[in-house]
Amino acid sequence: MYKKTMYICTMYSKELLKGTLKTIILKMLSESDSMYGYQITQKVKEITEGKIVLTEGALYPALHKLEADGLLTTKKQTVGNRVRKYYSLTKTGNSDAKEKVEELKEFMETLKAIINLTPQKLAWSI
Amino acid sequence: MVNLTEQHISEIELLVEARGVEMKELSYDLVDHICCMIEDKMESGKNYASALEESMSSFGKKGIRQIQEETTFLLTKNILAMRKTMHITGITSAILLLLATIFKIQHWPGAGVMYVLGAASLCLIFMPIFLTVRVKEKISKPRLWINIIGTLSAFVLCFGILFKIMHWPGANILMSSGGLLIIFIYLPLYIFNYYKNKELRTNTVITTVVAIAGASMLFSLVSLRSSHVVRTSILNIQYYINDDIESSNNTNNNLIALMEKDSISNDVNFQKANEMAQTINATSAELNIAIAKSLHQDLTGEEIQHILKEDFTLISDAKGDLTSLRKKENGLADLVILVDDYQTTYEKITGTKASLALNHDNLNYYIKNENTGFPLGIVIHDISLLNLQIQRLHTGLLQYYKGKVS
Repeated sequence: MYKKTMYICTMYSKELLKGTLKTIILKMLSESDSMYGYQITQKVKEITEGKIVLTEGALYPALHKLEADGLLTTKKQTVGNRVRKYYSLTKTGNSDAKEKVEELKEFMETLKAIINLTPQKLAWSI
Repeated sequence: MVNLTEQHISEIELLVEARGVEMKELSYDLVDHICCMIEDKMESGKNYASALEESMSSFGKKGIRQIQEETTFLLTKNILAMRKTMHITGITSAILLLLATIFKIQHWPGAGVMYVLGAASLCLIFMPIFLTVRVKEKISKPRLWINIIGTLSAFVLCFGILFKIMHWPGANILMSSGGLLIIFIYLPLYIFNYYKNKELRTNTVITTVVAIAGASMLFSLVSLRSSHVVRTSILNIQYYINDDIESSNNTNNNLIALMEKDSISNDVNFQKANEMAQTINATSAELNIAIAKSLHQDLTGEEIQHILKEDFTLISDAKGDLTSLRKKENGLADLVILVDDYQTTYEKITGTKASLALNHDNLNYYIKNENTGFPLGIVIHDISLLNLQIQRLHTGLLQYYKGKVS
């Protein structure tokens, strides 16, 4: 039902990044007081040198879900003749962000251990 | 820095709306996002029209609508699963209760189990999930409260009916409080709140009318007390028995008076039988008075007699415990022994079998059971009938002696 466009558009496969979207959003927001949607996509693009681009189809549903779960709050402000919604972390959002980032770090370390396995090591352990 | 004009923005708003975005919050996000994209493109030298064209096409044909679908999906994912469970348990318990009713009417086995399972799944699974879904759907506060009150009173009423069907204690309190809650709190709140809403007005009226009319028509079929005719005939039976006992006693006394001067009046067996019949008569009358007294402790002896003879409704409608029958001396147990003795004596004297129609199951139940809510009118009825049979038997015995004398 939901095609490729719904997920993070990237040079990496969508399966790799599917589970990290929330963490990326929370981490971005924990780096600044508040951000609006377009700003988040630009910041991620800039940091990853264009290797990860959040599509609107992935970003906004995730933002609304996070808001409904009470991790984010929004503030509306009129900018350039239109309403702009700024997202910021709530208290629980803040601690959740830290947890999620830690979890991802650990996961990456674990993955490294698997990836770096040499054939000899493997043979030895068998 | 390029800034879009109000006209451009309202054009973009219309475009987003035309793509089928109905969620206000999401449309703010998307409009701002598209504006940012266009502004960026215009910074790098493009004109508004082509920037708009490019930005919109980057979403794909149905892309914008898909964003909304994905958002609603994410937001309602939990509720959807819960609703499914709610539907399944609701239908299951409805079917169970319907089957249980059919089984109950047909007196097939298993009705009780089905009632308990149906009511339990209705009250303990369906209703809590229903409320949770309502809370998650974020309906308005007054409507949520109406739902909570309605569910609670339905919960109480449902358990009341279950208890009533299963003959468990406390049914009446549960049923009446549930009913009162629904009629006096839930219905007024429901009608008041929904009637204000013009769109829902017709629906409200229809639901209310169907609910009240249906409930009252069904209720009229189920009379909670036995009908007037049944009650009157029960009373009459008791009065007839009382009259019969009295006339038997009179007959017996007359016969004894007739034989008083005969030598037979000195016969040991004759005296013994007379004494026993009189004791049985007195004991059963005393037991009946004791029962009546246990139900109406504030009344005098005379008033108790009056109730037993002329106002039996005051006893036949009441329920109480059987302890008043378990006196150490001249209790019901002694009475039953005495009746057996009388029967043996009768058979010894006349050489014929004394055939009594005694309900020994009932009598044993009265002597042993700890039931505290027993309809004591039946007990009085049984004791009186026992006495009547003995007195009639005794008339026969006296006639036997009278025949011998003359």
